[in-house]
Amino acid sequence: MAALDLMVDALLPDWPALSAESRSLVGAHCAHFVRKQIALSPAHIRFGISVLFTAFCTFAFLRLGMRRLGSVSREQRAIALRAFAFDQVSPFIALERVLRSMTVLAFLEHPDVLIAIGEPPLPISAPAATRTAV
Amino acid sequence: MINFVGLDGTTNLTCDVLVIGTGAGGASVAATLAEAGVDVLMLEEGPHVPADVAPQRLMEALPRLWRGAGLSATIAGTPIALAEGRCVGGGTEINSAIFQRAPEEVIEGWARANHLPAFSPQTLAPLYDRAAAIVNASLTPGNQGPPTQILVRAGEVMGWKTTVLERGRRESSSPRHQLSGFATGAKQAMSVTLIPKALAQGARLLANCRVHRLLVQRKRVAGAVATSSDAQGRRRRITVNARQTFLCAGTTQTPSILQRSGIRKNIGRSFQIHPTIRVLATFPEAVDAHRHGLPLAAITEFMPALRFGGSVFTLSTFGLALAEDWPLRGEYLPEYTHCAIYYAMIRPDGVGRVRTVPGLAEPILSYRLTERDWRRLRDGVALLARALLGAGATRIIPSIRGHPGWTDASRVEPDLHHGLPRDRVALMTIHLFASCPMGRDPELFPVDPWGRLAGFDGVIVADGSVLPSAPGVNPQATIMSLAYRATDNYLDCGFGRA
Repeated sequence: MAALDLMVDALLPDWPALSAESRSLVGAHCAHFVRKQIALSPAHIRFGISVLFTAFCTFAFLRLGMRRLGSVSREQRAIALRAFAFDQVSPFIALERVLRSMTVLAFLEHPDVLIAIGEPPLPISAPAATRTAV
Repeated sequence: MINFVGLDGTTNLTCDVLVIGTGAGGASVAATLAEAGVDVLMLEEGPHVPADVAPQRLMEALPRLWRGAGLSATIAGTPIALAEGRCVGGGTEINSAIFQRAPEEVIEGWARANHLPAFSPQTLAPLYDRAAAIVNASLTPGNQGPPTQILVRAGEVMGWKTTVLERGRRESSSPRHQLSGFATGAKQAMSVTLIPKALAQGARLLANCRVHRLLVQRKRVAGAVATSSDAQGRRRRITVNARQTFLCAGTTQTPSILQRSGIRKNIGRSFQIHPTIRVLATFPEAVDAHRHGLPLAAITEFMPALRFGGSVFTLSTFGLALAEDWPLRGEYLPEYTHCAIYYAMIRPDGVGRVRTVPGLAEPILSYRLTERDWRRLRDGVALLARALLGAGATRIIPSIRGHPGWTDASRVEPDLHHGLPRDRVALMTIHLFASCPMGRDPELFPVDPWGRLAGFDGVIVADGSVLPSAPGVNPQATIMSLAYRATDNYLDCGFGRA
C-alpha cells in the first residue's frame, strides 16, 4: 500500500464502528478520493503537498525507529502525523488538515458509513456530461 | 432542449461577441446580448453539468464543479481557503444563491471613491430588479428549522437587527442542490436560468474550453486563443475571432487571462474577499441542522462592516469543520444532531494580488489583512459567540486551532483580549472580487465605469473583478447588475460602433 493510502487509513474516524471488511472498503474509497483531489489541485498547491508529504515520510521513518509506515499500526501513523504538525508550523499543520479534511469528507459520504450512522445514503450522480459544445 | 454540436474539424470560430466565462456576469451578458439579436459565443473552462445530474455529494461536486477541486487558497500573506466555481454557471452553481443588494452606503462610497457617473442606489435599483426577477429572488416559505430560529433568537437576545434572506429558488417537487443548503425547492443557478435563455436565443456555448490569452492586435482585442477538450478528452487549439469580447472569467481568472495577454497595468493588484471565520455551536437539544438546509437569516446589525450568518450543514461539511482541529473536535462527530455552524464575515480593508506565473495554470493569490480587519474578525467572533450562548448554545468553538471553545459568555471577551491568535485561525471565503476594479481615472483603475478595459478597444470586463471593493454582502446580485449595466451601455452605444 502506498504511503499516502496508509496515512488516509490512519486518519479514518473511529466513529461509527464498521466491520473490518467495510472499513477496508471505505478506506480504499477514501484513499482514492484523496489521491484524486490532490491530482486535481492547482500545481503550486500540489507541489507543496508533495514536498511536505515527502518531508513527513522522512520524519516518520526516523520517529518510528527506522521503520516504514506500512510496518506500524494506524495509531502510530496518526501519532507520527500529529507529531509532525505539533511544532505549530503552518505548512506542517496544513498537510495534516488537507489529508484529514479530504479523508473525513469521503468517509462521511460513503454509503456504508451513513447506513451505520442511521442516515440515508446520498444518491450517486450520473457521470458528468462529456460533450463539450452546446 | 439543448442541442450539442461537435467541434469536428473546427479550429477557427467567429462571432460578433465572445463571452469568456458563464458565471453570474457572463451569463447575464450573454443572455442580454442574445436577446438583442447579437451573435454570441460563450466559452467556459469547466464542464457542463446539467441540473438533473448535479452532484448531491460534496466529494463528487468538488472535482467536477469547483476550481482546483476545492483545494484553492491564498498562499502568501494570510492563508485563506477559497471557493470558486469552475463549470457552466460558474460560482452560481456552488453558492447558496442568496440574493442581496449591496448596501446603499457601499454603492454611494464606490461612486465617490472611484468617480463612477450615473452610479447610485437609484440607478442600480432597476438592474437589481432584473437580476432578482431572473433568479426569482424570494423568501423560502415554511418553517426553516432550528438553525435559522437560533440565529434569529441570538439577534433578539442581543437586541440586534436580523434580516430574513431571499434566495434564487423555485418550488420544485424534487429537492436538489442540498449541497447549496436547499432543503426544498430548486436553486436558480445560471445553468437553469440565463444560460438556457441565451441558448434559446441562438447563443452558442463551448464548455471544457480554457482561454489562454486574448488576441491583441496593437491596442485592440480581436478574440481569444483557447484549448478545448472533446468528448474523448483530446485537446484542440481553437482561435476565436470576435468584434467584441466580454471577459467574465471571474475574479481570479480574468486578471490571469489579461496578464497572460501582456496586459498588466493595475491588473490583479486590488483583489478583495470577505474574510470569514466560522464557529461550531453545540446545543443541549437536537437541532438536526443536516436536515434543514442553510439558515435563511442573518444578523445585520453591524452591516456592512460585519455580518453573522449560518453555514450549510451536512455531515461532510461538519466533518470538514472538525478536521480543522481533529484532536480537540473529533469527539463531537457523534453529536452531529446537536451541532450547527455559524460564521462572522467582515468587509475588509486589506487587499491582495492575483499573479500569473509562467508555467502555472492557476494564478498565485496573496492576501493581507490589515490590523483593523483582524480587530473586526476578533469582534465578530466575540459578538457571535456571546449571542449564540445567549440563544441557548452550550459551547461555541471558534475556528482557532487548539481552542476548546467557550461555555460561558463572560469568558469570551477576556479570552480574546489580546486579539485572535493569527497563526492558529482558520479563515475561509466564498466571495472574491475587485481584482480589476472600475473607476474613472485610467491611471488608477484598469477598467472604466462601464467595464471597458483602459487603453484597449474591443474588450469589456463584466464579472466580480470589476466591483470597486468588497460589497459586504453576497456578491451575485451586484455582479449580475453591473454586468447588465455594462451590456446595456454596449448596446446603447451601437454595439461598440459609436
